[in-house]
Amino acid sequence: MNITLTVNGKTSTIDVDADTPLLWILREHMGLTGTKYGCGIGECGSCTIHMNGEPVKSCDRAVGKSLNADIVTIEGLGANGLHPVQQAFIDDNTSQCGWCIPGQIMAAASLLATNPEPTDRDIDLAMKDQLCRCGAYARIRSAIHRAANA
Amino acid sequence: MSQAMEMKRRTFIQSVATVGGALVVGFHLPSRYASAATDGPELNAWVHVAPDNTVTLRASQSEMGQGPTNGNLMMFAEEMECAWPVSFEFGSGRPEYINPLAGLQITGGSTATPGFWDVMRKAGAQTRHMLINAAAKQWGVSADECSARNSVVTHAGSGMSATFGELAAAAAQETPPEEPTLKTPDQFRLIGTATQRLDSKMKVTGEAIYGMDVSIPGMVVAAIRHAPFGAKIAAYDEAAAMAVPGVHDVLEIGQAVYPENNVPCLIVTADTYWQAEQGLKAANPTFDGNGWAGLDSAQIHQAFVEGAEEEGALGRVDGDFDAAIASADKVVEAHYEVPYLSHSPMEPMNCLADYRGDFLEIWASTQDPGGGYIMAEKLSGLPQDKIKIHVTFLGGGFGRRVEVDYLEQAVEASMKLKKPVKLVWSREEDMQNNFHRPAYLAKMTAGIDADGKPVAWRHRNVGPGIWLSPYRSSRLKDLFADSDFLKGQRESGVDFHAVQGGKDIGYDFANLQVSWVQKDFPVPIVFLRGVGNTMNCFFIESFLDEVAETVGKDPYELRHELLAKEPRMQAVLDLAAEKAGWGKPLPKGHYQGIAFHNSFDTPFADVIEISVRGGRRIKVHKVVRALDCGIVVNPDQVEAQCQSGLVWGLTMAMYSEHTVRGAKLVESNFDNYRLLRISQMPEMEWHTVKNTNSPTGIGEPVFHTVTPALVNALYAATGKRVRSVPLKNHGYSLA
Repeated sequence: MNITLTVNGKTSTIDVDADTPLLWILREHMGLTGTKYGCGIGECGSCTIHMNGEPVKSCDRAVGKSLNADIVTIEGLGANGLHPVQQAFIDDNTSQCGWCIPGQIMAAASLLATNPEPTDRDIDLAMKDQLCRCGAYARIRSAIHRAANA
Repeated sequence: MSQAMEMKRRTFIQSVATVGGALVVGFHLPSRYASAATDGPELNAWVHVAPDNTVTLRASQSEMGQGPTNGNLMMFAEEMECAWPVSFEFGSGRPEYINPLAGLQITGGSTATPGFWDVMRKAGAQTRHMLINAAAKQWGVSADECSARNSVVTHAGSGMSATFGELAAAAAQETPPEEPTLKTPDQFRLIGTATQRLDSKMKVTGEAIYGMDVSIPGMVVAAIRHAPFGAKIAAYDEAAAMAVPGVHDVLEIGQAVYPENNVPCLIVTADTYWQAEQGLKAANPTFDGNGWAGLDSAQIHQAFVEGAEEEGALGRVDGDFDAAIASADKVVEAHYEVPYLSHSPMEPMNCLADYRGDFLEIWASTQDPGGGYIMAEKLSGLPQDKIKIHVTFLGGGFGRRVEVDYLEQAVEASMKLKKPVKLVWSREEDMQNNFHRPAYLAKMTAGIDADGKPVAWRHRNVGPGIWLSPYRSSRLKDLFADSDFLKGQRESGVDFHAVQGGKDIGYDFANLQVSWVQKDFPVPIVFLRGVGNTMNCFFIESFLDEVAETVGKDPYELRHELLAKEPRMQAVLDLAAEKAGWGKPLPKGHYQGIAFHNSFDTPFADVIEISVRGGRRIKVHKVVRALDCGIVVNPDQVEAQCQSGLVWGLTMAMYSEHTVRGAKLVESNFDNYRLLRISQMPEMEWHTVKNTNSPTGIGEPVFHTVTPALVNALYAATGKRVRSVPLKNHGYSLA
């Protein structure tokens, strides 16, 4: 079916199976490979994007349920240069393998958009479904605080 | 082409692509591989310099997160005297890139830093000499009067100077000295400083290219189902798969060059991964049983318990254990056990192969391009100069990506289908068809003499052997079949990794026996970060606390005494105890546990402070970590690894377990193979013993001590000794 999406400010119409998860639309139809596949069941958070301003796991969100959605991916987060969370992740050397990092950043950016000065507990709650196998959690936390103070 | 330039080019390609009904991929390639390096002349295998003085270094070690890119290129830049930061790209397939500690271009075994410590510094110094010699010739002065700094060569007397970029073309013609003089540690300017990761920016913007991100025109994407544990494919519905929109091919593969990897698989290819998975579901492959259909974890456990009463093959014998036990005043004995574990890197296995008859090109997140070339040569029949493996970023490796089975599958598919194939494993395929860290049981026995001294120690391990298993395990056992390393294991009957960390235990026991009872099962097994140390440290360090209690000694004091002949190790133990305030009063309800282990030549100690609520809910308040890795090349990455190891250790202690039922692995995804969460990351500090010894590795030694330190703290808090992990199985949770 024809589905209209706005991704990173660009609106387009694509003809795809409505059950296709948004993740694969972004990665394979739009070449936006910054959004990562980690589990396919919404458990790891590597595929987190913003949909209509909310953090959403794109791996188990069918594109057919995203009609006319306004989507922002890691590629579009820093529309005018780096987003403060991206800069903080650079400054704290947060990334290890980096596969989960775009999802971590999208979730953190969402948190800061609604809660500019989160406590550790706020971070724990907002980031609880963002897994990092390398174990960069200490620096993910410190980078979020750094971005909040930027 | 530098990573930065490549990114600009790629962005351009993306921006001109139109989004419509058709697949829009275009080229989507990692650094430099779209075209040959054009940014100025190559001075050697490691570096080329552009006219604008941009220095691009090549990383030969795979970047899977542990930071060898920064570390190794810092070593090179220190001696080359180029400006930092540098551009970088990944190199493969040249003899210079062979890891001296592995014999192949392979990243693992905590060898990236120690293996290339001399290689990178020497090559950097040679490059500097080439640039200085070129400048001296141009100026008609002696090279001895010139020096290099910050990518500029200067002549002291005249003040003449030239950039590396200006000199590069001439320098490329120079012959470097065989053995240049290297800096002494007091002369280091870059080594020892905390540098920004060179890959940070591209990883936070989504621009870093991993294996799964690569695409080339004309490729199809393949989804895969593996037959479990050596079973055969029984049936599948090809017509149903082909009826799924976008599907191109249904194909059986599994004709591996390494017998252990000859696993029958069904793949379905399509325009996109999602379509390929739908095709595979429609095909609905079924599999024939294999004689192991009844295999389950209880059966494996029972075999281990029975095996614990066998003598096993002796890996090390000091003194006379039997005599010492016979005359011992007290004997302590216990069984310890660990389950199968998976690596579960966040990026599932994948590979893109393009076989074109006379040339084979592979893009892969791999730790082992060296082994990949050998496999590809055997499988394709092409000589290695007709094969190119492009190493991308790796979304985690942890030892899993030392295996090349997924490269093998993609190459086979591309050869049979005569088109480029990108193979992508689902997370379920990744976990359930992983090569696992083997399950093990240890029977630990200690004898205490009349003076309260532990004089006899027996560590009998029961379980599979990665090198000696007749079932599916690392194909390195094929690759190194004729090596002395493997011959020695066959002759002794002792698998190297089954007793790793036990055979080379640092403690001094007058009468010591380390043995291995071989019990193999068809669950595929391989090296996981730390390998044998992952279980043997838990066995040794938990049991040693039981011994300490029996002899009435403080757990730290006993360890300190047993390390009397190992001052380097003892210093690390002491450092952890001192920084953690071991033995000093703690807040009410807080308890400490301690553990020490030496692996990969990096002694490591942990002190963990916990409290336990309601007897079951563990809160980790603080972890103090100490290590000796010699010269700290990049303190920022040593800290990152200390953090990483703590997460790994707590995850393994609390949650990690793959169980076997009906000859299949049960845990299949992150909903049932749980990882630690951000809220559970405790406060941590780390300390190194300061010295100027050559650096040792840190990627693998960083997590073994966490589990026993936690279990020992738990005993201090509750009086209950836990002898198997994960702790969730004993009713414990982690706050």
